[in-house]
Amino acid sequence: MAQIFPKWTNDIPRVGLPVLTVLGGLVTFAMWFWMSPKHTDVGYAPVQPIAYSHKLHAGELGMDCRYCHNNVERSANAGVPPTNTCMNCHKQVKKDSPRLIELYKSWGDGKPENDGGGIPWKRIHKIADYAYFNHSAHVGIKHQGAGIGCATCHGRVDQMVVVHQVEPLSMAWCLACHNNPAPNLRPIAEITNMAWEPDATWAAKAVEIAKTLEPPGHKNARTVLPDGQVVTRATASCTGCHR
Amino acid sequence: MSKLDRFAPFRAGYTADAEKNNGPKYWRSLDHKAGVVDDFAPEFPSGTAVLPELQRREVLKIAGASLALAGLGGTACVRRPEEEILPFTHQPEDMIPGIAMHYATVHPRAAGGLGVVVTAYEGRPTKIEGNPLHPMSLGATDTWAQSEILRLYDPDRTRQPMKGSAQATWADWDTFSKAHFDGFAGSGGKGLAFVVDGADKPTFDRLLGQATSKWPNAQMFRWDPINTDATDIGASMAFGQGSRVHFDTTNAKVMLALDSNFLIDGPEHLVHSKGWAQGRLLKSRADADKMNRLYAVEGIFSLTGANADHRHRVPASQIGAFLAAVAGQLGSAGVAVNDLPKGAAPAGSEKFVAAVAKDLAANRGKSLIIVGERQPAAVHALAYALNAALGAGEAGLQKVSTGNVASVPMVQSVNALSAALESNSIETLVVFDANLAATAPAALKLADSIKKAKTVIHAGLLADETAALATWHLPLAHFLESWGDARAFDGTASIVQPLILPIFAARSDVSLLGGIVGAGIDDKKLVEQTWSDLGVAGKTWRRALHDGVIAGVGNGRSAVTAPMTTSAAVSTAFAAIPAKGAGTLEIALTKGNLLDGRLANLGWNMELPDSMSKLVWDNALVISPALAKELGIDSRVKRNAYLSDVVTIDVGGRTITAPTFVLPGLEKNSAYLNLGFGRKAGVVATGVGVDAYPLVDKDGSMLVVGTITKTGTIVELCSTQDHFSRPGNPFNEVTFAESTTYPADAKERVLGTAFDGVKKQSPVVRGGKLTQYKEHGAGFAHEGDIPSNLVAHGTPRHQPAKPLQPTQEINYDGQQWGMVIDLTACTGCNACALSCQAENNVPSVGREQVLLGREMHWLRIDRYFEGDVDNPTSIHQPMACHHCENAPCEPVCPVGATVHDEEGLNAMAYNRCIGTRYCANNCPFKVRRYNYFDFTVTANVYRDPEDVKRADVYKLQRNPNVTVRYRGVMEKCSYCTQRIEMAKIAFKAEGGDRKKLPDGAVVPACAQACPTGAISFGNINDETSKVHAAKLNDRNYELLQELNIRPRTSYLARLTNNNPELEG
Repeated sequence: MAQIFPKWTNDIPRVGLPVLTVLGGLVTFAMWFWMSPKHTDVGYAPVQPIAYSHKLHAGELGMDCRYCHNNVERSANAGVPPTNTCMNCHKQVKKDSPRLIELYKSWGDGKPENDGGGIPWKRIHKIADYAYFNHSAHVGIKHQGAGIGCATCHGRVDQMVVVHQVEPLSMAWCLACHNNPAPNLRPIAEITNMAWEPDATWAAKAVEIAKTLEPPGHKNARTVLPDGQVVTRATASCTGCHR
Repeated sequence: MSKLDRFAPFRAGYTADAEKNNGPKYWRSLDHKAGVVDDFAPEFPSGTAVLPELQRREVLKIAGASLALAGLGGTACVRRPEEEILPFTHQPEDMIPGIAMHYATVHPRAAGGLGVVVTAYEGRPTKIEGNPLHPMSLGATDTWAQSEILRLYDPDRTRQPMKGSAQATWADWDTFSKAHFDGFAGSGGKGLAFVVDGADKPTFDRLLGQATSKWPNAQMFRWDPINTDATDIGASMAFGQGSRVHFDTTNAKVMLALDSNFLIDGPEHLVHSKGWAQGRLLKSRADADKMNRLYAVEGIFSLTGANADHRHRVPASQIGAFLAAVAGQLGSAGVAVNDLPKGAAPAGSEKFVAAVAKDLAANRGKSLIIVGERQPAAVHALAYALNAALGAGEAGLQKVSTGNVASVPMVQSVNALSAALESNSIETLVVFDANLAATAPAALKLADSIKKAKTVIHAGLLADETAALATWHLPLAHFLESWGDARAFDGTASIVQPLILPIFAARSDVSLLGGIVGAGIDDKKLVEQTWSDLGVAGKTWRRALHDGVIAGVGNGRSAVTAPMTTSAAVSTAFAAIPAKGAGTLEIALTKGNLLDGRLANLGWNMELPDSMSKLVWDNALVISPALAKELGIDSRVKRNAYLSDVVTIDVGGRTITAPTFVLPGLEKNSAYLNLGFGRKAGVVATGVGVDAYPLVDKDGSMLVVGTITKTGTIVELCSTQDHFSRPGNPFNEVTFAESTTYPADAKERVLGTAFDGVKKQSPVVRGGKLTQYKEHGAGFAHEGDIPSNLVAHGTPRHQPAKPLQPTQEINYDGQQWGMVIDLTACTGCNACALSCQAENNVPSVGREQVLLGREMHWLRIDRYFEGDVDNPTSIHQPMACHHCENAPCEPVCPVGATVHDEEGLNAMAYNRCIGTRYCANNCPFKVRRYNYFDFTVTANVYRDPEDVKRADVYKLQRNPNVTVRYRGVMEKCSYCTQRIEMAKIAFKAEGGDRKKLPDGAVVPACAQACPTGAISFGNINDETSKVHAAKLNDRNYELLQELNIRPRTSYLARLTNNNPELEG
């Protein structure tokens, strides 16, 4: 009786299994790498309705972030400025620029009843709906005189002609800082200073401040890593962000 | 004391000789008492997993949609879809996206407005809370105020004016209105009639006054099934025309409630229940003498009866005689009752009358008699007179105000309307928000006579039964969309200010009437004009808007003490109380969660269990066990439903058929039936329950007398009290104590053996009598508790204290949240349950799902009975997640979706949950809720497209600070973690340390709504906090302590202030 399977089929498990393992590994790696926010979200720079340059406004003209994002110290949302914030200057400046057509369309004749609607900016930084990030809680830990600067999460926006996402905004990324906030703390006065760098005095002070941020509950006790780095947890439990 | 033993003092050991101080034994339902086991439903019912309304075509649609989605997932970019941020062009001043805004306004109600503070996010109102500055609210709300937010977003609201069945526009209406009403100029309004509801609205009344002067021959009627006719007429009899009586329950030591549900019914019920609770929130045993005492005399089992210290059953028709007997006894005790009616006590009440009268007389100046609205006016008058004789006036317990009380009672007015319609003297009938066809006394047959008017104009939120008869139906704006004003029962005036423009093309009542009388349709201007005429303008106007009450001005009524003057008039009226009709069964028509039916189209209210019967999505004729036995009526548990007999109710020839529900504790021939069901308008309300209005006679009395006959039909009713449980052992657990009950000095023990041969289980509801408390202390609060050393962590291994639950090293430092609920003050009014639902985006699931035990309420209120089936006492126990320190739900979660946070919250990370339901299975309190379906309609697949459309409107109500849960996710009470976090962030913004919040910075939604202050919440480590003090109270006990789960929520055992003379 003839053999049903030719001889080469003997190689299927011998070759196939390692190949499958490698393939499986590759697929896993591909998903882990290319489908993580680090890869999918970082660098996202959608085309905005108005070619607004942060480099020009925040960088060259030196406008403070809070001139436009004025709710950052009060609300969960930093806020995207209403058209009338733009018009504070652009009533005079660049009145005829074709790049500002959308702005003047939105403004209309300046009367609220005749406006052309808000400018539909494209959202760049977004976290999931079930995570509740609050800007005001981060930029001002007032009783300690410290906060997290804009540049820490948003990057050097003052150098961006087109704003793009710099950090992955993933949960692991959040927790990396929450577990060890000291390197990212800065004096409240320097929050919007894009170019700020800590000096040695501040770095030492920041470690002390970070220690006060940890909650007293048992699960979040401070741990000291083998290299001597102090890991603290500032609001590291689920309820801090998930409600 | 080591940190680990911090709570040891609250865990007093249980010893055998403490048993004599035990409290009563509670049971849940008749079937529970009888020990029926088989028919209770399993917690997770097996069976079909599709929504019952899903038909084949929908399944195909869903399949298509799923495939389409699958395609998207496979081909489209992984990146989420592009999203836009749309800023304002002109940002409104003070509006900060992400920060809630709060506006004070007033909920205009029949018989007086209720001041509320409404929360709005980006111009979208999401939550209603009480206004602490408003005298009718004092910061509390009730279920009806809470659900108004959902009523605003009712997708069934009329969206444009309707001319007959054709859609019209407001321009059409304006054209018609001008021509039509100008036509009355010549005749002075002959043939024109207006019907308005019961709310007291100054601007609206001013415009009605303009209508009267413009059309002197026009007729004005008022109708609202929720009225205070009897109370007001009674007050007029006692204190003169236009009087109103206000009670101060705070300082009353002895209260007698006669057929009165004053704790949740009536225009001032929030104030009444708050005051009543003031005399019951005992901080310690030293306060025991400060406790007040409430007697309830009634035929049905009301919530007030359930909270009474002594309840006596007397049919409603004999309440007058009972009160006369009390008057007689008071006279003998030396109270100056003069020529007030006196009488002999009804048979069987002699002892009670004597004891009550003695107690009332002994507490002169500290006692009150409160009569329910269903009783005839003369009984009210007699009660007022007796209160005055008891010195309530001098003591300030009973105050009288005079002012804007309608001169014609509602019932007279609606009878006059009927007569006018019958005599064809009405050509044009304008109806403002009064559902005449459905709610007017059925004997008047208004639904027929309305047709005699040539033109009927109806304005209302819904196209209801009256709208169906109307020539024009005009959409009315909700009060959260309107400018207006309303006076409270005591005359306090408030401005209704809008939080949002009308969602649908609607106009406010002020605007509509302004248009009709030619005063313009700008409601804001009309309201401003009313008040600027009274001097409220500029700064005082802005202050009035801010505070929610108008200080000083426009307050036509001030509460003053007045002596009783006309006791002879009372006597005469009392003698003239007409006898009730033939029949044996006295049926009270009660206002439940739906009020008179105006809230019937709200899923929240439909699904909110009735306080006593725990019925949802149904109403039933609630009858006594004795009558049920006599008539062979059965209502028994079958899985999650009750199988109940349907009866025909015959009241003077008017008949309806209704299912029955047997409730322990009713007087044999008394029954009640909730109003508001059986509606014919609105997708939610249509066809649910039985319409009780056809039983109402021309006198409008909500107490009817009739007969019932069994039809033989059996239907399924939906009552939630027996859900998630089995009789015998309420929590379906083998308890630690059940298998091992050990004294404190035990050296060893083996699981599974009983120490003293008696299996014991610690009672879930605990309570005791005040005399017992004073004499022996709070032993009843610790009945069944096992000794603290047996459950405390750290007991050496060789000792038998190893807990069933693994214990871990817990550090109780820092901010540790906890809650204490005082069962003595909790009335079971349900306000907390609905407030929780509104705050936490809790969906309602519908009747079919509730029958499968899938209701989603995070906070349920359990109701227990104690004692004899015919005459038990009852107690309510709010039950939500206990945030156990040794939470049984946590170790069984395979994905770590439910874990502890550092402040003691048992957190639920929805996005981690994979829906194994192990946690719910392991929860001894059964407070975890599972989203079997996409109840919130977040993803628009698997749902009927109609549902999706409706959800588009409903979702405007959602709290943006709480995740909306999707199908397959477990959820439960979070202690309002969003409020905790927001309080921390707010405190941080002020320069505070978020780890050291001051006491009172966090108020969960339940505690905020609670009128009695029964719920205290806060940091149990903060020794100055209210909750810490409550935890130290000797009545503080933890549920299922034998499981060593260490719940964060504990209860204060209920005290009843018993009168020793009525015992034995």
